[in-house]
Amino acid sequence: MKNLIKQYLDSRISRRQLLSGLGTLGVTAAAANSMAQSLAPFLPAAAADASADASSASRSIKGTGGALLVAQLKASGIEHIFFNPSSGAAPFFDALVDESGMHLIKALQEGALVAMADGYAKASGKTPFVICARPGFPNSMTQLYNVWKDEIPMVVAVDYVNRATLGEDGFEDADHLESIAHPITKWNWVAQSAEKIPEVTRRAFKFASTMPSGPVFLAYPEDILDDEAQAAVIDQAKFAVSMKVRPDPDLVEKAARMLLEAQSPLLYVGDEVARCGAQKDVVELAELLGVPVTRDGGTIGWSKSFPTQHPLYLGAALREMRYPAHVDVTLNLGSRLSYGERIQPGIKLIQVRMDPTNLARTAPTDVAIFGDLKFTTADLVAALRSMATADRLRQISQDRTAKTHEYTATMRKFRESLGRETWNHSPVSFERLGMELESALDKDACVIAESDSGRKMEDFMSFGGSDKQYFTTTGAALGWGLPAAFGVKLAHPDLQVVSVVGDGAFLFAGPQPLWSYARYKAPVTLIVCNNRSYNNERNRIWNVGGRQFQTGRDMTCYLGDPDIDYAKLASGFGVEGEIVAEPAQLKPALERAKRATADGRPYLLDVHIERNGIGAASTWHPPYSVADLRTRKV
Amino acid sequence: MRSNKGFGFRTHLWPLFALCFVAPIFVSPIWAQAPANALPAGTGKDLVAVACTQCHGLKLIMSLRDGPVGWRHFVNDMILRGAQLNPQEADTVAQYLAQNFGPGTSPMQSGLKSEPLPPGDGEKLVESHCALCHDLGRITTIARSKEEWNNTVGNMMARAGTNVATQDEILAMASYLAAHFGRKLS
Repeated sequence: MKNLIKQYLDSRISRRQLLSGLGTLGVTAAAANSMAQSLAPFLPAAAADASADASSASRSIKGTGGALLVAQLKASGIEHIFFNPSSGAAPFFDALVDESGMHLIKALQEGALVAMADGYAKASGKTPFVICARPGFPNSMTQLYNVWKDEIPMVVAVDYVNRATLGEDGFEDADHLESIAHPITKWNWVAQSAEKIPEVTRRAFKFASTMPSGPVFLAYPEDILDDEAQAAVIDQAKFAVSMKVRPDPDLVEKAARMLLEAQSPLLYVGDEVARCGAQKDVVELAELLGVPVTRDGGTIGWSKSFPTQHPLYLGAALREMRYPAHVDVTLNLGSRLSYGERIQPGIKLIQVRMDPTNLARTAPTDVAIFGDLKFTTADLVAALRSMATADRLRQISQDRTAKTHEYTATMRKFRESLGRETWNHSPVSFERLGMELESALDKDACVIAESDSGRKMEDFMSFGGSDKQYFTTTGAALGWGLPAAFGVKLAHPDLQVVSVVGDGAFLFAGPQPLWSYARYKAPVTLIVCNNRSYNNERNRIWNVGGRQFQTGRDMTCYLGDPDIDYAKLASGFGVEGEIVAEPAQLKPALERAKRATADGRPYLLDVHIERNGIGAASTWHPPYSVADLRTRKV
Repeated sequence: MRSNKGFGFRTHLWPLFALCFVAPIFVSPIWAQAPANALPAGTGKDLVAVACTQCHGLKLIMSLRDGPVGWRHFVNDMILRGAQLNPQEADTVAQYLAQNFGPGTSPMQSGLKSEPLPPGDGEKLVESHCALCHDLGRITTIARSKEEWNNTVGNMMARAGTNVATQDEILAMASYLAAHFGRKLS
């Protein structure tokens, strides 16, 4: 036994081999486990093989599975680990004790954890790593679904059941836990040995980050995180696949010709424009031909890929645009185009996507181009310039540009005047909130929005181009905005970051993210648009004209009674805040928030916002009391 | 005790019963639920048929009753949510809706059975004003606090436009409703 222990302490046998050897010597499994545990502090930490070249992209590392995971994450460029602890992953966290290059970011609920990482990924363009306990993993599913819908790269991992007891329906064991992630991940995998941990981790990062990107799920069995092994840790760059693919030139030429001959073209932009850094190229293309620009409506699309103040920008797409009328060619640049039915019969459709699965998925497509959005847009511009003289291009552009400028200027002025009409509404109107934010925020601020009714305020703000950055989520699984803003701030510590979420969305996130803001001193202005309602949900429900509409009874969406005090809630988590009950209080409150964040502290504004739409006036809700069910006062 | 005072909506805001044709792009497609030719004739019909059906159907527009101020609020809200109407067209649409779906034009039917209103001060006012837009079943089968009735009546009268009811009449209606169909706030 002494020899066995010596071999183990010298890292010549793994933990599993130790346990097996002790079993052979007649030691019970429980006693062997206990003995291995008591020996753990005397094990050497992961150490690079002395023979390895430190500057090499590949290093042979010896250590526990947890230590190998840490080493590979470092080689994969991970700086932040978004986590909630689990006992099964103890060897991983133990290995971080002596690792100063990575920072732990803790969230108190798994959904918030994934949303934080999502905000970080969207703002930084990096692939974050998330790890949580396996029974908590189902909590993360709502936000993982959002990540999937937005095609954001992310690796989400859990500690998994010890292989020796897997399938016994034992402690925290559910058969094939990994399969619950299947529909909303690009890949899911259970690591099979400590030696394999670096390899499967690299593969996970490769799959997650290769466009079209998306989340990947990994499970590391507890025993292999604890096992000793020697394995190669290799820089992630050795597995990077560039997807900066140039498009088929024949298709580009065909598309360019259609655009050139179009009488009333329309440009439809989506998130891949932002992902590929093609914003400037898209503006150039739009201006070259004077093409009006639109985007998917609602929460479809997480970015503003075209400057919203540009004279060619129309706003969200409609089924049959009144302006421009009689569209004959639509060019979709990087949008999911999930409202494919809005492409009317007879309109020629050109689509450019980085995601071949969703390219020509629903709408019949005349030219389907797979390619990087930046390259493809630049190639389209070059093709147009080669096919037509500068004079002809100017002639094509001039008239359309003038008409669109006139239309957008008229509508902008009209909306502005309508917004002004609500200036003194009390509770505060979304229009006023938008105008006040536009005036108070830095030009390059990041706005993280999650308010269905609140999209109206975006009419009064400037996004895209050299203006503010905008982030939201396509999935519409609420609870994203509050934690996501933390991730955006982590990615952009030198930019002003403001989260604007509805009270419904805030409550789906739960107050837990506030703890992370306070713990990590994340100076973000957190605005809760408190209208005590799932306002647009009620609107949609009543819109079908059912009994709630007919009888004027909101059975489902009123959130008052009790009325929640979000400033008080924030205080309980160590975040300063205040209530903004009247419109005149808004501007000074935003100034206080700005001072607090400049001082390095988060600040929450509980802004009392008006409800609007059908049934908005009603505060009635079905009366019911559990206390009244009692027959004795217990 | 808690209070809803000054919160959630004010009299210049939205009605209890008003149609939502907000959430324009984001609702389930129900464009086909009522044909455009079902709209009454009049200036603005074609605009409503085209501009308002981009995101929602006509069924609810035609089911709703609202005053000129209320309809104008809806039209403004739709424009802020993307409806493509210029200022003149917005005026035309709001006028068309108020003329064709305003108070007094075949009130909304809730299907709730209503007993006759109990006698009292304000009874006649309720009968003459509220029933212009909806049947009385919506009133007599639900209990609201005095504050809720104040808000509800005030809101509806504000949407109906000026000179529809005096402030005293509004208070009389709210008091009557609270007395006969009231509930205490918990």
